[in-house]
Amino acid sequence: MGEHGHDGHHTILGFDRYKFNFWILMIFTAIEVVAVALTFSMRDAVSMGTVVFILVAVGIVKGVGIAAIFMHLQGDDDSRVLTATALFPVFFIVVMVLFIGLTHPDAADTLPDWCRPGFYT
Amino acid sequence: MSYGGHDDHHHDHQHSHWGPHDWTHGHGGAPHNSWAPIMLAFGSSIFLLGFTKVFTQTWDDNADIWTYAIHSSQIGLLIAGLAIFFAGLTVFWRQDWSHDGSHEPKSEGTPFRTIDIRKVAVWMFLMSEMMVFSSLFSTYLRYRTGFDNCEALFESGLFVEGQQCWLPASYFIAEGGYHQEHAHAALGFMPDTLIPGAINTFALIISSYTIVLALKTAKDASLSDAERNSKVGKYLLSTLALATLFLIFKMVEWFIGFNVGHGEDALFHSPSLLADGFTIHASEYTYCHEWDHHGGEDHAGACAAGASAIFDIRMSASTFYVTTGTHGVHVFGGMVALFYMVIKAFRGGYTPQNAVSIEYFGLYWHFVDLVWVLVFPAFYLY
Amino acid sequence: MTTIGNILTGVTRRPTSEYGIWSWLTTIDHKRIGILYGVTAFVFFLLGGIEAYIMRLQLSQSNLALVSPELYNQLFTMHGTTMIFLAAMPMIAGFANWIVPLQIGAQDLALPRLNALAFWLNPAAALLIFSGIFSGQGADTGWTGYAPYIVSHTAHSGATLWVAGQILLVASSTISGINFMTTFCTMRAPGMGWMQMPLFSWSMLIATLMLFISIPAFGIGLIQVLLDRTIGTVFYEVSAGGDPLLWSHLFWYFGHPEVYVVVLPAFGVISEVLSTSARRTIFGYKSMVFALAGIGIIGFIVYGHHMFTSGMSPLLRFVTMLTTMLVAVPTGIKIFNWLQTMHGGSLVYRTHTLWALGFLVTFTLGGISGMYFPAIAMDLHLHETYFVVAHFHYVFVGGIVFGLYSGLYYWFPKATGRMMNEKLGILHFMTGFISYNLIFWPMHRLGIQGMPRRQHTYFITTDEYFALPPETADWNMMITIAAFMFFASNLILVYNMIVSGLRGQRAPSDPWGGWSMEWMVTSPPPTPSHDPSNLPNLKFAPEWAEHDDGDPGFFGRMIEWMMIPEDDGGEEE
Repeated sequence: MGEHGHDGHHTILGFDRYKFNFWILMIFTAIEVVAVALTFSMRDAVSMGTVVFILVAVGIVKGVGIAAIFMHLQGDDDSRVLTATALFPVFFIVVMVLFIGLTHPDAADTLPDWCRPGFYT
Repeated sequence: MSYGGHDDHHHDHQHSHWGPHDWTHGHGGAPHNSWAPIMLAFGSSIFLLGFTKVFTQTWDDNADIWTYAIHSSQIGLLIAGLAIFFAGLTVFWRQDWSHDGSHEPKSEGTPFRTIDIRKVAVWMFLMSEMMVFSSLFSTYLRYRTGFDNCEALFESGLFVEGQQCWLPASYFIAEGGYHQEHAHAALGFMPDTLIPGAINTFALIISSYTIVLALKTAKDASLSDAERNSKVGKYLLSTLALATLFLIFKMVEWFIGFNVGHGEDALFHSPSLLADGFTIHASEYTYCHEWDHHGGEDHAGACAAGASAIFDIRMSASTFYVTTGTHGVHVFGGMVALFYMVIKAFRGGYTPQNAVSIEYFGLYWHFVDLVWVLVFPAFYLY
Repeated sequence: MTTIGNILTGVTRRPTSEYGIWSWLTTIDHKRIGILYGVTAFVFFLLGGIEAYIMRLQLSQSNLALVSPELYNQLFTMHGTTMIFLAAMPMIAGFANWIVPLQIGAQDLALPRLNALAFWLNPAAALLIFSGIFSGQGADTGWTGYAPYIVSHTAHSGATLWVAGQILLVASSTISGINFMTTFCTMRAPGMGWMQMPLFSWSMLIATLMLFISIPAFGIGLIQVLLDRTIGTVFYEVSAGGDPLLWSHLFWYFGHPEVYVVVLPAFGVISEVLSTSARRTIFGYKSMVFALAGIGIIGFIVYGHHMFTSGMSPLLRFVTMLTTMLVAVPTGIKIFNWLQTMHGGSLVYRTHTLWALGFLVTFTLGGISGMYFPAIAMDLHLHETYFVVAHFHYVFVGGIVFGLYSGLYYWFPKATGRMMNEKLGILHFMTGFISYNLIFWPMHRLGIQGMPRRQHTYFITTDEYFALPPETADWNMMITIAAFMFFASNLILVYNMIVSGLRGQRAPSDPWGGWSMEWMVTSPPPTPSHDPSNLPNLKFAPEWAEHDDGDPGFFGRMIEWMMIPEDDGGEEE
């Protein structure tokens, strides 16, 4: 075991770290589900952009919570090197998303002409 | 050498202290042989052979389309492959059974020094899994940005019957209460079709917590062996139960649907995606533009004339089922491992020394949960 | 001892026999697994050669009908698949399995049973990949399996099993990659920092890292095709909006790093062989390491050059044109460093040296011919012609195969404890090198003249639209004859390996005067490979002591910030 829990790292705001994280995750999931459900029942009042913003924000909070606390990527002695390992593929993921995910020939249909491939004056 | 300082008393022979040990062999030594690899390899091969024989497609020259068939008579090969695979897995774990953790190998050298070697291996595995899911997401992103949305297409009026377009899964799930013929929202603000997915999300998060509790309990030296293993077993069993629940609800969502109560006064009424027509073969899906209950009353019966169109929504279905299905397969893989761990716990196999193996599984399990955190909003809600 | 119960117990308990077929089927020792990889790879290499040779017979004359177009399509598909996935990659895995633990002072790989699993997935996959051929319906899609043909109804049914087998190979590569990366990161001998690792090990590290990061893209593409061909998903079904370019992207996102994955180990071998043969350390070790890392990273952003004619995004075309030109730079650094190593050293000419020199010539030529492709205007003319075939055979055969031959002659004494016959080795080199160049050099010209690849025959015409001149036929005939000579030259190698393995002169620990750790153990090495109570460490090398100046550089500081503090080492709990 590379990490030997220093006692100070086991609590957040006085609560057990994992329990705290668990409840945060549950609450944010509830926010996410309710927000989307409400967004759809109030469809005309709320735009898709707001929906996406909420989903992304909640996703980030939950993702970081799971990675940092449940997966011990924060607070342990070996956290730094393991976080570097975990984040190593990010470059390759970005390349993949840019090169593969965002280059569909018809993806640029709704963009103005000057912003689309093949535009030459 | 610095393998955690435990190496002093085992140098009477050449064997080193890496890898799980089969302590029943008598004196310490890593396994020199194993039947597991060849069984796992050929089991997978035969399984895939069987798979291609059971699920086949045939080209219909007259109609110029593919026809699909499931040949259940050919299932023998598939079952045989699975049997060999799981037999291999049993051999593998049988060899690990007696691992009591006193020789968990640790890394040398920068920058992973003193970290468990197997922990590093799990993180390497997770790196490759990140690439798996980013390939799936890239496919989804590519197709979703490339296709026109069916609703927008209908509203523009510039379409032909049978045209391909994109109806996101969220249309059937998150908006399912508003766009299907028999819409229902028992909880008022949320459609019934979203309930399985929402429960699944909570289930996975709870299961992430129970596995954390299992690890904490396993490392707790203040408990007696029996008490510790009983508690660990219960936490692991909870995790397994929640994972099973996840897959059951996924099947409910995909194929079964759920109804509580009957007819007009049904408490919950959620048709499955299959019943709603969201399938990979849905080349002629009837899209009804007027089934939109936002703030309006329920509709029943056929769609009004001029308010419907036939669209080809197979691509959206394919990306949805394959991405969430791949995630489901990973959950299933975790269930298989949990099954072994539950048995081991209830047979008294976990001590604070070898509790790290729960940690390794936990890392995988948290990763599966994390992927769901990304998949759920991207496919179910957006 | 023979009751069913005992047999079953014997199967589920650990079999301990050291000899006999069961020990080979159940071995998890990296040296034996290396042999298993090497032998199966070599068998597939010869099989792939036979496939190529049949193609060459068909192409020896214009408009020949020796082989039908359908069979020809299967042949070039299987030739590519066999050579890359069942010959080159397993051979490299075999070398890596053998040499890496010895070189870094580890007793085995980090996960020995998974190592064996990664091996056994190869024959298991070959079973599926080759199965279609016997029904006459083997995959005919090309080794690149382009969509939408691969999901069309005119593609052979063997394509489904080809895809299934490839999925198993993806699993094998992933497992292998994880295993090696973990081993590199965690099991180097005490005192061996990153910058003291031998260059073959460095090349394997970067190669396996590239491999298991890039291969999931291919795996997902394969799963999509498999599902398209079995349960009816529509990922590549054009009528449902399927985009063939998606396959191309997923395939080449993997495919380009893949070619670096196979060539980097050859680079590593050459570094080892040239430094030992020149009796000096490699020139510019640090820049060699950074060049490897540079190739590794840039290799991921160049893949569009395989798709210039596909109708891909114009912006991406431009980006990958530039990055492809860029990737030549680190490769060039390596070539110059090798040249300087020889120039600053005193070369001893053994068989492995000759193959290394041959590599330098042919790989450089292959790299230069490759540099015509990033210029998109040239690529439009050269795509799908024999110029491409010439280029990649120069880098694959002239690069990888020659590099591995060199490694084979270099490490054979270590692995078997016997010396190979030098005279046969030189004969192998002379016949192989000359016949190889006679095969592939003329293909450059044929390609420029417009002879297309992947077509079962060619026509000599004099019309303006498609004029292959009459000497095309002469060149093709000569190439076929040279192919026969090259195939036969490999039999010299086989003979040499068998005879030397059985009756060769006994080899000492260090026949060539190498100084990396594998030369410190006996030939063949014991099991475990390094005595764990007496692990080798690097403190004896005075030049390394000079480098150990105590002030870490930029990367060193970054790594130190990341890792667990020194005073905690080995004393936790």
